[in-house]
Amino acid sequence: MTATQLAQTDIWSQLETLLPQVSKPARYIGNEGNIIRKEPTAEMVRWLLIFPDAYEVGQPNLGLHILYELLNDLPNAQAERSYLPWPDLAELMRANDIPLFSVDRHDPASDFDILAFTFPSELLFTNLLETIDLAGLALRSQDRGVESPLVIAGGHGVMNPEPIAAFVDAFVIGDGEDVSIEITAMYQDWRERGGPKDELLKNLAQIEGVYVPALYDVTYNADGTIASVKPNCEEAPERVEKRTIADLDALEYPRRPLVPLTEVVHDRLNIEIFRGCTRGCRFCQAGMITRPVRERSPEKVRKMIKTGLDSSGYEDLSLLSLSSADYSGIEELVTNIVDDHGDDRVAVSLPSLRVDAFTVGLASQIQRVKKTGLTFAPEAGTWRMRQVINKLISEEDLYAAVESAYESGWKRMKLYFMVGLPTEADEDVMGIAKLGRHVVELGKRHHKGASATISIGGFVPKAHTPFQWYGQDTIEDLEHKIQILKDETRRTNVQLRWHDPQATAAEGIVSRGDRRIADVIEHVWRNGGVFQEWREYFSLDRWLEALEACGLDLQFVVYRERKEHEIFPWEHISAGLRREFLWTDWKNALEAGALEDCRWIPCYDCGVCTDHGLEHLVASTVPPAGGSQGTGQCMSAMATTPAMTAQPVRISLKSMPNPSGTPSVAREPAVLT
Amino acid sequence: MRAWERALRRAKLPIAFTQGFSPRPRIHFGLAVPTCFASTAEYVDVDLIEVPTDLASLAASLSAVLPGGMDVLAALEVDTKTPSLQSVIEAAEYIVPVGPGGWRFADLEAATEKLLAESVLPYTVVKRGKDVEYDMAPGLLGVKAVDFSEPSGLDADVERAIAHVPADTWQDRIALWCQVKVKPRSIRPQEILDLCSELIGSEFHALLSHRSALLVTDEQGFSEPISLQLPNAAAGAEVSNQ
Repeated sequence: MTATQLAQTDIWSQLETLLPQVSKPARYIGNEGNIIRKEPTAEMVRWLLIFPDAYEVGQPNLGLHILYELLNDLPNAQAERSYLPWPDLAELMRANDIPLFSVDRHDPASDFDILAFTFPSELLFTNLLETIDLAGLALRSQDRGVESPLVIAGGHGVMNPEPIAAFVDAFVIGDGEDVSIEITAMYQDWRERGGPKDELLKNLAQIEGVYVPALYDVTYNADGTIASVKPNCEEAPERVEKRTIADLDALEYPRRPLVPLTEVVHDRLNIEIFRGCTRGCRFCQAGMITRPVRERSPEKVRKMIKTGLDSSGYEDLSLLSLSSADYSGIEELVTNIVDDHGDDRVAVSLPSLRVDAFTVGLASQIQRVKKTGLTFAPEAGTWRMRQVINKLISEEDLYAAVESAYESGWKRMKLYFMVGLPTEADEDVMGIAKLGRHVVELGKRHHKGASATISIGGFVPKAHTPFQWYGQDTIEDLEHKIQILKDETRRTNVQLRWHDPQATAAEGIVSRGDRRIADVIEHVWRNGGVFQEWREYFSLDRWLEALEACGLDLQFVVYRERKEHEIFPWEHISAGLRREFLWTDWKNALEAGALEDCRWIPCYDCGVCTDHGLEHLVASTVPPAGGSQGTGQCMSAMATTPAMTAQPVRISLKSMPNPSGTPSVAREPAVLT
Repeated sequence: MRAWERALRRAKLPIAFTQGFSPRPRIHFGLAVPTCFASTAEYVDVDLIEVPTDLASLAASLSAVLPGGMDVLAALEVDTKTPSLQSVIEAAEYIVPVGPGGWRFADLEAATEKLLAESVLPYTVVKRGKDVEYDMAPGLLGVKAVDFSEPSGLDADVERAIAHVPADTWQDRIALWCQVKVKPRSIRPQEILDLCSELIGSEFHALLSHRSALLVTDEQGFSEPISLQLPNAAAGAEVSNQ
């Protein structure tokens, strides 16, 4: 390939001579398979879709692929992509006056109308400032005028948008597909009229799911908590409701997924089989904010797989969702996919698997490549603790899954756990090591060298979950718990890995912080704190200095348990869940009370369906086969709704009012020893 | 490699796979092109279960499914007993615009002449954390300074090397043309520029490295693996029947 045959812009010709000096230059060349070469015109609204992390992490992001195709399919929009340049190139760009550029046409960021960021997690917030600065824009929304591109942000990481509210003009809350079409039309209309930025912002606030922080005022109490969050104009709604795509079948993207030329984290065809999850794990923000469950029909899934494989040449396929084995008729779907494509040596994988023997059997059936390791996520070490977090995996389920995996030829088990969970005592932590040791013992019956890896993450309470009130564990608490695990796994075949408790604390600052955290983020960034998810660039000291400089501390922002009626920084943002539901579920959690999956039991009225005219969209009202679904009982024998036809049916449970908002607590599962 | 695998899948060619636990398509390259190098001279062996009937159009259909900027110029059938590209490729040719700006052609020309006059050229590379010294002299088959501000004065080797590259890449620049051995160690153009810099005490820097030929030895000396009679081709793919 002659590099000069790539896009010919001023930036490219400068960049080309700098690339030999930086690490992984392929991050910046674009030119991927299925890249869309759409010539922009003056009438089009130009979007720069930005993943504010390294290319190899951001490139496979499915949300970005979907928006990229969807916007470029619109006659009035044109979309390109950008990722945050690694510090070695950022330095050279600043030295040579090269601004942030798109990887598609290598156009400068300031040529675009909208810079749209996606935030899968909150520690990326300092990268927002690095990106805006490299783009040559003023950091804060109030300092950017009409001449500056509009800065918007979405993704799970902005379900509490307040820590970056000062830097972002507008947020998209919830599913972004329809909203981005509406923003395009509104922007185009505003530009034609030539109005001020203020008018654009007020117009955007009319779109359901769009939050414009400048239109809200926040006041504080003497103790530092929030006194009120109120709109300062009539255009802004009291509460911004998240957007939800009700029918995934109507959304047929990606069709031609971008195929990278260099190594990226998930290099395969990704097809979403459903959105949402009602397992009800209380720590899990993704499960809470993406309700209800919306399955894509098996016919559509198969069609998208065919289109995607043909257009990409991929040899690996992944069926994405928050818990893929929960898809109605997953066995049939997988069998059909293998029949459709088995001859072409296509490998199918199911990430986010449930922990039970049925699921392992399913994984074993489709695993083509060498069986090296299998990952399970029991999340907590004792049954009591798993009831607290409502991840209802019995020990029986776990050990059956592990047995089945060893029998099917897997040799190494990886188990994910968290420490720092509410009500956690030392014996719960020791339970993690005990599980790990037992897994190794089971393995030794099958393979001489059986081993298990235990990965420990520190729990960070997130907005819009039942644990949003919880006071996060201190660094010292987490270190103590990790020390217990080190002691308990010494001289065993259990390998221990853990997440740095200091990084967990920093994540706490940006996860539940209010608008005052903007200054902290800016302080950290100004002192060189970029790529905070990368160990080589993370330092807690920068965060502590920044907190101090802003008159805040870890105790207030992170460690403090919130009172029942405290106004959260995200109080005016709605994920559809009723506050009373979350509070009751939190109280229930503290008593280790379990709550079943509402796909298969009567509605307990979390608010998502009943208040928003939404419904679960599943193909079957019968829980999937296999395992006890964590309840210690055979779920498939006790379906509460009559058996339905195989075609997707909408299950409406609106006729079961629950006026008190109190969740109906599931029967107590039998405790297994 | 990945790009090729996926392009071949998109083209739906009957590729042969390796045996074993995780079968891979049988694709073999000549000599890896270093990162950030442009090239108009790459060769690849692709093992097929059967030779496509329409071999003539294969180049075009492969180009259509490869990423932009990667084009197949020619494809031909070779016997399965033909030695691998890797074992037969002996030398490579590069043409490299030289910077930073402000260097006069005369400086580079003086440096290359001095370089060719030396019988021993020690050069140190760091290998696994250790300094290893090589003599570069036997590996240098040809080295020339090129002045693109005098386009009429270019010699035949250089004219051929740049035949497939847009003219503005070279415009008004000075450049280094070289043919180097790739065994036992593949010499890179920047290493030659390092030696030049040392010899005349100034710094020469490769702005963009361009590989213009891969060479095998035959009776006449060095030649390209596919001797292309095609009007506009300097690279090609070989297809071998398994």
